[in-house]
Amino acid sequence: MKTESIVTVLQNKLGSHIQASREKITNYGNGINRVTLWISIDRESFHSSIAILKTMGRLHISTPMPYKEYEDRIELIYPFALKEKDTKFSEIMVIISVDIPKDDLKIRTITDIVPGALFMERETMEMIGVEIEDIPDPRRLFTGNYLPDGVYPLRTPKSKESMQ
Amino acid sequence: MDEVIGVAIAIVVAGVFAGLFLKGIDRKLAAFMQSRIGPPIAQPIYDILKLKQKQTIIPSTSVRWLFTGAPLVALTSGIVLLLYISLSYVCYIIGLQSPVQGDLIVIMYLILIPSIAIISGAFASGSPYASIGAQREMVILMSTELPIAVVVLSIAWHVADSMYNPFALQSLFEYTLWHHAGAFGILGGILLFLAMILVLPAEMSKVPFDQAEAETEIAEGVMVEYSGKLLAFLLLTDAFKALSLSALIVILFFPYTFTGLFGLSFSIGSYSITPLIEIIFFIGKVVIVYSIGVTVIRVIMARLKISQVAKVFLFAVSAISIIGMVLIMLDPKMKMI
Amino acid sequence: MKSDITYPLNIGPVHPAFKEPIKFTFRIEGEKVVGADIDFGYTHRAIERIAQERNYIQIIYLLERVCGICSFSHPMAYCLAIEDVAGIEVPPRARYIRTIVGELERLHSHLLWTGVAAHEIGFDTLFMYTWNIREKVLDCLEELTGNRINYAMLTIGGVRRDITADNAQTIHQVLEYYEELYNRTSEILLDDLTLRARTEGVGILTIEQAERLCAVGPTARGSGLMKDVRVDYPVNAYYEILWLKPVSPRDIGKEPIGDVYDRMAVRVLEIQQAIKIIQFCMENLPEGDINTGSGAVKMINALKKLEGEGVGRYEAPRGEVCHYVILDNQEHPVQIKVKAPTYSNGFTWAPMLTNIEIADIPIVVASIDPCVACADRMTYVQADGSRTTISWEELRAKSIQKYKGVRRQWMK
Repeated sequence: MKTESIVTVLQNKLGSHIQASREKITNYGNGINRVTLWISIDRESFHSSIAILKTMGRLHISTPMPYKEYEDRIELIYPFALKEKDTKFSEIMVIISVDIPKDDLKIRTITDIVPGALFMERETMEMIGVEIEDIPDPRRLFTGNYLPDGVYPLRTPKSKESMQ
Repeated sequence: MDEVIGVAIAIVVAGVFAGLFLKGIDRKLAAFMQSRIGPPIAQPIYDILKLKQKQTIIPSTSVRWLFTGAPLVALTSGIVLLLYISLSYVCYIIGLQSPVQGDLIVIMYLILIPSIAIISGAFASGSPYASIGAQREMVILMSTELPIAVVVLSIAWHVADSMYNPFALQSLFEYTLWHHAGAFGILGGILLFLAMILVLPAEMSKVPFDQAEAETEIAEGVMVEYSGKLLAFLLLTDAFKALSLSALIVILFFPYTFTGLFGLSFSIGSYSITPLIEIIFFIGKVVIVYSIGVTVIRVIMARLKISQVAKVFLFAVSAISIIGMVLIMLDPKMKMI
Repeated sequence: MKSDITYPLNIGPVHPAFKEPIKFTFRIEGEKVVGADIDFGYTHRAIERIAQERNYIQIIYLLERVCGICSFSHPMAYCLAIEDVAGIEVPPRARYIRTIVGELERLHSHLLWTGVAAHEIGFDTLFMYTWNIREKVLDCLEELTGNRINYAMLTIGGVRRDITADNAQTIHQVLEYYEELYNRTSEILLDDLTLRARTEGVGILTIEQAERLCAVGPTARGSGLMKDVRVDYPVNAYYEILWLKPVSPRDIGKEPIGDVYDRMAVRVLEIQQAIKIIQFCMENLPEGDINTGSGAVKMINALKKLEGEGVGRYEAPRGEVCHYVILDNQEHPVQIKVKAPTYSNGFTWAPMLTNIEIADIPIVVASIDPCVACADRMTYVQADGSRTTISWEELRAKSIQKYKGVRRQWMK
């Protein structure tokens, strides 16, 4: 699958909501490529972009969401593996990143499109502290009930202070 | 009469060790079949000695009197079961006149009592695992009831042709199935033996019928809350049950004595050691029956589901035993024609 | 009005059916399971958090400890991710050696699973048998890498030890041994009556559910979903094996319905596939270097100056392992996100565990080959009943104190 076509389709449907995109192609010879595509999307059209991706082929969420922390915002990264057709080595990584302002840490759930993402979203809620809206099961996944509210273990710079 | 009481006491004392060694042999043999080294044969005895020293924990949610009383009832009934099944036979093989005839119907009921005691103890323990185990044990009890009853009835039917008392165990020593039946009767006898061999692992709670104790499902089920001395009582009950049920199969199907088979007698000096040889022969037969019925079957099979167990017993095993019964019923008529 | 006759049944956190702590709460109606809930979090070891304070080479050995059985797969995915960021090209011989060790790991993992599954349904003879024949591949791995598990074979840009002529001899012997045993083993596993009675039609995961819930590995393939990172995505030497395709129960002429039997069939077939892949790699093992030649210090210094993100995906025996690393001009990664196969497959328990009997719970849970420790790899500092939280430093001091005490006891 051509990465340009994915970006074009998304841009046609969502217009300027696509903030940036870049791709990385590693060639292994014999026409076999490892393709990774990074797309930044704003929060409003994030949900609909996943819905569009879902129509393109088999969409699989690969890891729980990593994040990058900045002064005023958090960049949440959703790594997807997208497979359009049933040929070998055709799966490409589509990595969607969304900026969320720190004073409003909220994002809409994607479990209505990719139900398998539930565990990942629950982990995001408890580890990073981003509130997932409309999540079917908001309980904590790993830390049970013994972690005090407001402590998010993977928020590195602040977690040490908040723990003490 | 005094001699008989002596024999009864000897049976109980020897029964403890024989039963535990029987379980040890079972474990060693299973290990051999699974290409392992396995525990020493005396391991069940060490287990009992260890449990004797352990603390007995009684869960706070349990019904105390029932929880502690049930293992005692189970052990007592296990001892009674062993005595009732083997006393007349042991007296017979060592050449004493037994005052007990051994009633087949009573044996059918006695077999139930240890299991019922364990079930009530499990329900009294208040553990959900134990309750599930107890429910399963009840299902197994009810499913094995029909085959056992059919086997006992057919054997009584066979004996009824003779001048002996049909429901007495003693009649079988003289009037065995194999010697006094035609081709149909022997075929029927084989089917009945097969049914009893399949009932044995179910009564002993062993794979493939160990649902009541299933370790990986409900963590030893009925026994989950027992510890220390109470657990030792349950293990002893198990040993007595293993011994008595295998002995029952031996008595029902192979009551032959060594001297009777080979026409030999042994003595050292003026003392006859034939009774000793006979008892060793009897224990040997018990070990063989237990190894076939429990060890081999548990090594080659996986645990079934409780619904499958009910089906196996209510349809397959019952059918086998009923066909066996019909064959035995037809047999004397064949001879008459 | 129908009265509520269900009752709750807790299985776990510690239970003989599970080899690792995990808690299930079932709603039971008689012997039927009508509802299930899962609770993770009993084996947290803070690996992602610790990784943020280690350098790039140390992390390889840290990640081997994510899981004892997939101790090749996790560092593999991490190395692929770092090589992706840094643009390191791995020499062909190293790629082949990685493939060989990875497939030997698959061989021993699948044999291990078979034994565990047999034990779950009370078939201890099969358990003993498979674990007995598994020793051979472990011995082979020990000779190749120096260790039965936690091989420490990988480094960024290649592998650390070469396969010598002696090793090659051993590998050939091991492959012959398994080829001889394969027919007998697969016959026991796929045709035994009681095994079939316990596994057929139990714990069904349809292909649609598998796709929606993002199932991976043998769990997905057992449902007929052709998902295999080795085939979908170019990794190691797999893309040079032209005949490689995802296995499915169709290979033994059975239409997959996604029950436990199908998942078992997939694993049995993958044992055969692994033997073939190793044979291919041994025949086509190229000559050359086994790593980039730069030592650990040089590598760390090079990686320190990098900025960027990378994904590493690898097909572990249990399914897809995916690591995401973020580098930012530091001696240690800003973030490393680990996903183990059980993390994806854990959610598929929900449809599998409804409408089964209590007796099926252990085998259905085991059928995805769960590795709770892998899924549970994350943070947390333990708090006791009084709900006080203690800091990392305090915890470390406390553990040192505790182990000093233990040592003192031993000395006596």
